[in-house]
Amino acid sequence: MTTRSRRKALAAALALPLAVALVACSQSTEAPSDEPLTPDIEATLTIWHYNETAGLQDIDPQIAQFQELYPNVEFEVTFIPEEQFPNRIISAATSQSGPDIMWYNGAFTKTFADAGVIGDITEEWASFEDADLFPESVLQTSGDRIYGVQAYVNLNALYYNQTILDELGVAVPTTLDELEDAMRAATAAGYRGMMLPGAPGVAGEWVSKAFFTGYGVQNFSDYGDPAVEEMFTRVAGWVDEGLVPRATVTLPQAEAVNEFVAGDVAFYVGGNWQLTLPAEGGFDWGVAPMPAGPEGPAVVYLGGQAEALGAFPTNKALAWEFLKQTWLTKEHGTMRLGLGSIPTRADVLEGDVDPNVQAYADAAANGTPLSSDTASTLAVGDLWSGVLAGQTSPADGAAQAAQIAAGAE
Amino acid sequence: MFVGYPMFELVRMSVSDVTPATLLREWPFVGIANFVDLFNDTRFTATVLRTVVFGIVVLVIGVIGGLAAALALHARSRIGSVTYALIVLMWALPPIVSGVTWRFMLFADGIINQFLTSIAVIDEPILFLIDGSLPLLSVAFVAGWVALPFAAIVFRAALLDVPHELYEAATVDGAGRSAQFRYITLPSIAPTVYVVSILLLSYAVRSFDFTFVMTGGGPGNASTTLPVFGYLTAFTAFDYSAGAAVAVITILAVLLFALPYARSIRRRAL
Repeated sequence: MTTRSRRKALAAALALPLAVALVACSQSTEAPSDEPLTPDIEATLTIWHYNETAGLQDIDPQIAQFQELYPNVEFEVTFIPEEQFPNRIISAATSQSGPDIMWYNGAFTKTFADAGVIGDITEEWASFEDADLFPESVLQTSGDRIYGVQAYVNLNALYYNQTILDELGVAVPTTLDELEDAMRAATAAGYRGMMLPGAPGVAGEWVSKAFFTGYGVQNFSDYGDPAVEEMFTRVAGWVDEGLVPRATVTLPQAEAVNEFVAGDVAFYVGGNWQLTLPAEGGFDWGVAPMPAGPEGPAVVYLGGQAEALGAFPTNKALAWEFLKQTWLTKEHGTMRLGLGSIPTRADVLEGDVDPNVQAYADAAANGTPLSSDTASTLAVGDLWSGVLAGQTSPADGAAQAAQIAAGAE
Repeated sequence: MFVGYPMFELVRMSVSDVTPATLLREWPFVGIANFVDLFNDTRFTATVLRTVVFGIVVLVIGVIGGLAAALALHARSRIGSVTYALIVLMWALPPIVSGVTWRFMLFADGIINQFLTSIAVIDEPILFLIDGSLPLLSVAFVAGWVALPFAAIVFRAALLDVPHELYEAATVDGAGRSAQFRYITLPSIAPTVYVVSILLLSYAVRSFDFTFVMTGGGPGNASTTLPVFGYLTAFTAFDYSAGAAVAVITILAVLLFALPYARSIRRRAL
């Protein structure tokens, strides 16, 4: 091959992907099929999700239920690890080959909407007969458009070891002052005070929200408030005083819960998906909403999976029908309730509910959607982790928080 | 094609404004703005410093430890052969497995603290993954420890190439072991030490797995090095262009070490 022909080949090789990308960008993003929905419709729907246990609990049974209504609809279900999910779906969109239906982390709604990889369901939601049963806070929006909905939520609350509290004669704390006193009593009696997860990044910010809001700091843009330093000083003081063991502050919740289950810890900030674990510890325990701070109630994030359509569904009406007939039904909410989830559909939580689940449901009423400002989320999580571990002083932490506030979206 | 095109796209991304909103559209050209922003970001400059520290620790452990291991294994014996096989196995372990194992070993109640407490070296557990500079040094130590077998294997091969007659003559002349090491062994294997040093530094600068598994870059940013910073920027904060700029800088740093290596290989070939 001559130099000239080699150059031509290289130019062609470089130009080909670019050309494909340009063609892809020029194509319509409308759903290719609007075939009317009849019970004998033939189609294949693809589902992407990131929950390893979802197949058994949330997808296989729902598919079976849907196929009773539409027996000729086949499904292709793909599990993608959570940390890979955003980039996989954005990459797939370059060839308009994403899923029909997806189960994703609601924090990425704006990112996916900006990238054009998630379907707009505003019109579908407006005509959904049960829409009024879902609170607005669980709708996944970007601008004035609706892209997804959380049929149930995950959130944080305060686990307490009732056996220890009974021994100490201490009531379940409802404020940070009471929590602090209870931790002091517990450590004085030889127990560990509280497991307060402080892993860096998103995981840390997820836990920190209740503490910021208790000090009256609600949004990233408010993080320049002097109350931030007060809050940092308080939680760092807990670590310095030994109320929160320094050795465990960087553990993620998935590991910190094991310390609580060990039985010598009075409190733990954990999620509702961990409700089945403390029973293994052989002690009495319970869950309460996160204690209020000096400036008001603690607000927690409403995290967890959201259900949505992809931007390029093969049959949008059929994909939406799947959401309506499965994940958004009362039956599904009741099933999730039995698994310790907190359903968002109002008619599911009527009647007798486990008190620990009810505690989460009460906390959820005061919940807030996950932030779509991923850069600030990461930075705050790192800050929380650094302050708890003693890597960053409360004063420096507050100064850095002010910088985050200045750059917040 | 498989190297050039991704590199071309990476560089193009680093001089563009690429976010999830623009990823599938035309990328606005912004020149060196992403690089300027990075160098004005104290988190980035602190990350560069941590990467330098990380590299030095890996280099010291890899070269000194690798050479010591090679000298110890140089003599042919059954124990030496078994040890040699073990360190090759250690080298072959996936980084995720090594990282997770070391993470548990370094916990406050992990085996290392238990051992140090049992022999009364310490009263309180050392918080390897939490306190001060220890998270960075601990991860760097593990990365160096895992690279040590590679260095030992290469050094051992170099030692086997040193003519035995030189040692015999030195012994006849009355040179002791340390003199033999200083005047025969070190000069003979110096080119190998140079090459191994370059490879270890390249390895350290691009090392991602151990940090990600053991600390996630934390607490805070205490153990974040360039590859982790680039990954988090691009794929967690979705600032693709800033992440690409970090990757370009990392690649340049690796090239800084790789080019002398390539030159030395070419010189040897000639």
